[in-house]
Amino acid sequence: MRVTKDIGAAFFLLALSVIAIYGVNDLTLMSAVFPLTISILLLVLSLIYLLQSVIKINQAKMEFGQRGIMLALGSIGYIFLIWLIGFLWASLLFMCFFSIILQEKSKRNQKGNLVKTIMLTSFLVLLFYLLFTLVFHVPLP
Amino acid sequence: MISYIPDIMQSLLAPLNIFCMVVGVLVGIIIGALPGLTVTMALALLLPFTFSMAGDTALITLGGLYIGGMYGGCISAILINTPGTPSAIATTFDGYPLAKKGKAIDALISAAVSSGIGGIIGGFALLFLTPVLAKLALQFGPPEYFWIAMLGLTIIASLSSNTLLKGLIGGAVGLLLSTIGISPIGGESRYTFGFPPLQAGLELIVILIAFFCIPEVFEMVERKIKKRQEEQTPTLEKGIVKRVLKQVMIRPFLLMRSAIIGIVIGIIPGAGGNVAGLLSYDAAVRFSKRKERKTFGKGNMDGVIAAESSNNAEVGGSLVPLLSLGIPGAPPAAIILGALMIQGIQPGPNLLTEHGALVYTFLISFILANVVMLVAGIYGSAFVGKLITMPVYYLAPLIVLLTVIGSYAIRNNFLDVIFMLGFGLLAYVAKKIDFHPAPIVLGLILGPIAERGLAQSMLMGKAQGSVLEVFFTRPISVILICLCFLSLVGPLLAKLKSNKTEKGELG
Repeated sequence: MRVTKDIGAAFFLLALSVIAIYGVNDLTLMSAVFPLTISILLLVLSLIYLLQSVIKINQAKMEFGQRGIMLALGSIGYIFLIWLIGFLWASLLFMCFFSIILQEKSKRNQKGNLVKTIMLTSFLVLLFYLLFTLVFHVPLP
Repeated sequence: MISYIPDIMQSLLAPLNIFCMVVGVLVGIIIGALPGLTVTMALALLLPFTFSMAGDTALITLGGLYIGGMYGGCISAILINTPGTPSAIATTFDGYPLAKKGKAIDALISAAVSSGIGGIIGGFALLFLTPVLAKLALQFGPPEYFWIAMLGLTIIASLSSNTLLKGLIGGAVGLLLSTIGISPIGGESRYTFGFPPLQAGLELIVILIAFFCIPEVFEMVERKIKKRQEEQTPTLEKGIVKRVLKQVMIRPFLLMRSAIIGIVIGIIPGAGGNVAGLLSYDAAVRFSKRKERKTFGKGNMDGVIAAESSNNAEVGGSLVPLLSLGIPGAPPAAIILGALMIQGIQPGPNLLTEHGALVYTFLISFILANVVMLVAGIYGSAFVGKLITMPVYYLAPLIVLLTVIGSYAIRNNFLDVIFMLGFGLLAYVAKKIDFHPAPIVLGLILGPIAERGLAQSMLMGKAQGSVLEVFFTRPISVILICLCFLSLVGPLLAKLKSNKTEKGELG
């Protein structure tokens, strides 16, 4: 059986509902009734979804854009960097890097573009940093 | 309401509140005009800003942003045939053809006027319907709250997703996520897996940011934004405002009908501005004179008027069930719910008695914000049109930065940032498999309401000797059960009918 995106998702949901049913094993009735009801409902719906996916195979692939994946991975790296070197420096690196990398090649290679991008993104990061810390008094990571 | 007038006037005339209202509307218009940014995203990002604000200022700002954002979507819809927000989809049908004919400014001004009038009508509906629905809600007991939560989920499941099944699965996942933490009745830990931070459950605002911002920003960098084909920026000529205003005002029935459609759609949980705009456009076509029908889709001003007055009236409608029942009528209203909770305000039937001054201030400021939006739209939309080409390579990483700030600021807990990104990535993948975030988020919001309703109803049933009687025999419960059934069966019947029609055409 070829595993399409829907079949994969259905198996994931089945596993989730089984874990959820198992997770309320040791609870009293009042604590367990709602999550148990929802887990069983999810199990039934996931089975229907699996059957539907097997009968009506959706040939469409799950397509991720290269830039989308790049930004997703970059965001994970950004969070890690915040933990490592602090919010301000991590944000400067993240913003500068992605502002350059997400541009089209032709624009990236233009004379003076690199400096302009770094300056503008650094200004934006500093602006928001000061805005949140001094004006809005919002705590930053 | 009359007894609150001195407090309302004091709040509305405060310079800071006036400033925040105007800024909220203007920022909302700009964000709404930028394709790829949604009103919900803007509200979710702005929400943490409101922590340090007073309750009235926070709600006035967010209300302004909501209203501005709903209008702003029409600017890029008209100028580059790309709706800035989903609610402006119907505006592209006639707005862009008008722009191609060199009448972009006519379309922008008529959109501003229609949005303003529709929004004001929606505001009055919000002002007068909220107390009425709140009074009705006082007759709701635990079984009714359970069934209305189920109704909200079944409606949003059928409207938000391509398939009803995926919508229901999304809703069930959301309900399950809402059970993480300490059970409200029983007091035991559920699904914490020994991880202490999960004892308090998932923070709603973190989930809102994760589901409504992260997938959008990743998809934004994947999409290519169409560039403006016109070289000339629309400009305000002398006398044009008066001329277009007259053109709009001689269509009172169109405006009223579209606004009413918007309000009704707004009240129904799950149906957002895009549904209101499309239904209203459809009604405008159906009720037009036969010879005019052919002109729709080719630059008929009525199309723009219908779509825009409806989607802004929907804003007021979506806040009615939020304030009176605690059930958001649309995803942006879910963010407003978050704002109310930050301020320690629980929406529901007692909201008007416990926080009357604040709520009425918000409701009246809502009407005033629509006036501000009308003026800003008429005189500022051409200028905003210049801004919609803001590069994605600056916008996308900036939004990620704001989501990190927003999710951290709630509890000063770095784990919230990790949860935000984790759930955001899951939502991004889920969207690729056609699982829309709205049912999941609504499940998370309605879960506690449904659980409390279920548990209390079971206790009532045990005391009265029959649990089934408590759930299935009360008059309001029966009406809600019928509506749930209709919202589930309706789309299935419609699909069967369209399949039969297709087979008939092929045969």
